[in-house]
Amino acid sequence: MNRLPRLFSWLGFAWARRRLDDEARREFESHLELLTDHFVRTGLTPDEARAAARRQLGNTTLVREEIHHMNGVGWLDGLWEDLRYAMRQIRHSPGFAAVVILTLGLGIGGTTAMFSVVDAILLSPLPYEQPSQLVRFYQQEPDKPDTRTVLTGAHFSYLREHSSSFEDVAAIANYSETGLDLVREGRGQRLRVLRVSSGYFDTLRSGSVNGPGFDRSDETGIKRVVLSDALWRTGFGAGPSLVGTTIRLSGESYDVAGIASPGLDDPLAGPVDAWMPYNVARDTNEENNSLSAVGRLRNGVSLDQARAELLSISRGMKERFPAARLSAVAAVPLQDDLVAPAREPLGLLSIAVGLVLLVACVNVANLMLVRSTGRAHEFAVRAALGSGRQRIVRQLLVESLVFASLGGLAGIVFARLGLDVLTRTGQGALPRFDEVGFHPAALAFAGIATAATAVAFGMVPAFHVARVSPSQAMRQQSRSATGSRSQQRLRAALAAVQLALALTLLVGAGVLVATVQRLQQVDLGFRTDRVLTFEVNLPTVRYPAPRRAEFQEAMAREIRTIPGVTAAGAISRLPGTGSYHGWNTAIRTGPLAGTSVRRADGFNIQQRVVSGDVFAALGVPVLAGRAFDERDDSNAPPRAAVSASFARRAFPNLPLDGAIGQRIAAGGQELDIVGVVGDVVLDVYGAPALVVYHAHRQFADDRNWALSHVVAGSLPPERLLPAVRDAVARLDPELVVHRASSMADVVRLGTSRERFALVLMGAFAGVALLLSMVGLYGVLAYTVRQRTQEIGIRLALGATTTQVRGLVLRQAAVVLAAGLAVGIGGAIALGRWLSSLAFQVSPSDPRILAFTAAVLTLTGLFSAWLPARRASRVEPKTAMREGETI
Amino acid sequence: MVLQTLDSMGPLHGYGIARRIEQISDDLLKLNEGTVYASLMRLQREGWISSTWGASENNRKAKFYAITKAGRRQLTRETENWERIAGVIGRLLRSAGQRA
Repeated sequence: MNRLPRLFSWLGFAWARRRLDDEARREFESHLELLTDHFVRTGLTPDEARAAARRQLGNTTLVREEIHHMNGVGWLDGLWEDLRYAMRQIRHSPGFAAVVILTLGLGIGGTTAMFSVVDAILLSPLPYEQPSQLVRFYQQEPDKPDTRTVLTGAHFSYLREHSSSFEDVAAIANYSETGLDLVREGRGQRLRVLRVSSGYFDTLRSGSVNGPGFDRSDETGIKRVVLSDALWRTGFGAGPSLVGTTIRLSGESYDVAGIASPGLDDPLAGPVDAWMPYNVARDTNEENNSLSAVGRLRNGVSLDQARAELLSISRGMKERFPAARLSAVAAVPLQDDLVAPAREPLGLLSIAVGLVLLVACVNVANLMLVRSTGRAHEFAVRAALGSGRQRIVRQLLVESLVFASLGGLAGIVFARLGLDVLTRTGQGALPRFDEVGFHPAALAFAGIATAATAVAFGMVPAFHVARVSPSQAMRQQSRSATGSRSQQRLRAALAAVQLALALTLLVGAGVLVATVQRLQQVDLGFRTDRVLTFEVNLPTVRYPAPRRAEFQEAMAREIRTIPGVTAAGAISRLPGTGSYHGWNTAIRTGPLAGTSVRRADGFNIQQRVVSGDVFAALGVPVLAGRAFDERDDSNAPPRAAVSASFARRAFPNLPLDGAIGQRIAAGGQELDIVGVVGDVVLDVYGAPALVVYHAHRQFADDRNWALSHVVAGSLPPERLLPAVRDAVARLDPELVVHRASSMADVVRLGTSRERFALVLMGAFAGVALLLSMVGLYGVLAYTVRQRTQEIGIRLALGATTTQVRGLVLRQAAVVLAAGLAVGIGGAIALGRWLSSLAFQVSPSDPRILAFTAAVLTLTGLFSAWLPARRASRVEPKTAMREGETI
Repeated sequence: MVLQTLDSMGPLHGYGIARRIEQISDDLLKLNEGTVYASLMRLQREGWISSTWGASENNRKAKFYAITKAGRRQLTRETENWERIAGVIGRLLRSAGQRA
């Protein structure tokens, strides 16, 4: 027979082994009876005949055994035996197995969860057709990427007219406040609405928009909407004839121009309920940078070619819009642009989780090493009895693989749990987090990690056993065979490596703790405690400008009557949440009359529109003059309040009082300064801002300002909210209170990136610390057990318990010292990735290094204490007697 | 031997094969008859014989073994091989006898 059919034939027989055995038994019975009949015929009595037949047939069990072996596949059988042996080992020492499996599970699970996040955010392509063709446009000074900002309407239109490298380009008016209210059966729902130019859906190649969509002629502020598939289903019962009809949003009629393909999210704004055309025609201001823009490269056009074309277009723009501060338009791959803020935190955390996996592997390797050398005697006996060395090594490998597989299973469970935590803490901290989920790729990654780990820790003991010669091991007795110096040293080195890795992670966590602490200590200049914020959108149709002006004041008054409320007002952008309306401000009077405060000169000049008692509600003090009040209405000359830093900048060498009565101009208005108020920060990092405040009542006709309401009280915000909703409903039951949040949460959102990194880094450091403690404890406890006899002799000869304890602690100190030295080096190396997240903290801050080193030393000594105490309590008599029986 | 038996006698059960071997070897090869089954299993694994369940003379269920085509080829090969070796040894012994 050829090889292959023969193999199949054998496998077939191996498969049917049990049945074949059964058949053989029946054949023997039948044979026995025939033989007995035969002997009876020759004249024997039935009993004699049966005995003779038995004799002649021979030992049937032996034959059956031979057949059984013949039909086995030797290698597989051995494997099965090894597997069963490994399972028996696990049952035999469940504690050891649990530690190994949990350790591996933590390492593999953490890595898998982290990989799922990295994969979803950094690696997986954007969910659009041919996403590598998508680019994002920025306006910037030539060759100065740090001056990047979004586009003006004028520059966008110019780009759209003159570029040929792009199949289509689209503008997105990505203001946080864009939205419309959908009221059905008396219940209001705030929709997230994005204003986009007509090329939007074609640029994203978002599949078919079911309906006509938008075209160029719609870019006039016409009331048309494309609904998201989800809104069409939940809000309109997936009605098939909805397209072409009109729906009411925020009290106005909108034509439904289409239903977007299911699952379409905006690349920049995320989930969107509806899109409407942006009024590109009206947006001709060449200084108002407010449009995000994306484009799709034509097939076959490379990014470099497109960039070359953009260079020449930028020259044309410069001539066309000479007043514009930023004349160049640059294109960056959309995916790079979107994930840029995530790159560094994720890089850092990937390194951290890799270190945890490493610690876990080292830990398991150490544990396995201790155990397998403890079994050296067993292996020596087996080798002496004829077990091949290869056979022993294979058994160890199978054991490792069993542990690794169970660890991998535990890892999958840990990864699932970890991902739940990650998605909860990471939402809002990093882009694309809603795409994170347990990924099949992560499963594969867990598999690879499992296999690699199995080999990594399986091979160390395997090599060791292979090196020990049986005769040597037998002669020296188990103790000396396992306690050889080189192995001792290897184990101590592994423990030191663990400590070093743990220290590296601890320093990382320490730097992030300090960062978050410093961020909390930033003097924001406004109150965050017991302050409620929310938004209410006033539909333009029912609320023309004068009515909006009065309504905002009336709302503040109404809310002020709620028991527990101390002040209420509204502001066009909450302080500490970034730059908004950075209009240049002209100085009309005073020593610098005729000049301007400009962003281009490095000033964070900001404009805010306020109503009600907003300074009191935010806890911003009035330092000179007065806050806005009922005198500042549309009949009065336009007035402004300015921040102290603006007053000092615009009117140098004058006391703050000196700014009162001075004149400035911004936003097309000539303004008299009536008050100077305290400084507030631009963002949570404490960037200073120069702010000009406008009275909403005097500025309401400029646009339908989306104001954030601020309510300060003596009660927690969540307890104020129901009464606030009632108050708004009393004024107008159709209005929707949305984005309600405490001011503290608003500020916390600004530091979510750092907090996310801190939570993860802290968890990783904690796990690494725990594992390295287990590692150190394991090494010391094992040494103490191995040296019990020696310690007994020392004690018998008069050593004090302190001396014995010192013996163990000295070993711990050596391991710790080595770990600390290497770990500090590792921490400094990690600093490169840490510095992007660290705030007012140096990654190599000696105080943090000293503190974490102290933490590690203390926990290290703690885990050394138990073995040391056990050593000092050795009973000399028993120890020496035990020594004989080992 | 088993192959030869099956080739000349047609399908047989284990007992029959044992009897036949006993008969042709004139009780010279006295073996534990159980070992026949180990040989039968080995030959089956090699695909040289096949087996089917049937009824024996005394109407008991018994497994009948028959030689396959591959088995016949193997038998020819082994027979030739044996004859060659036997011939060589025969000549060797004869020449040794002449010299002595």
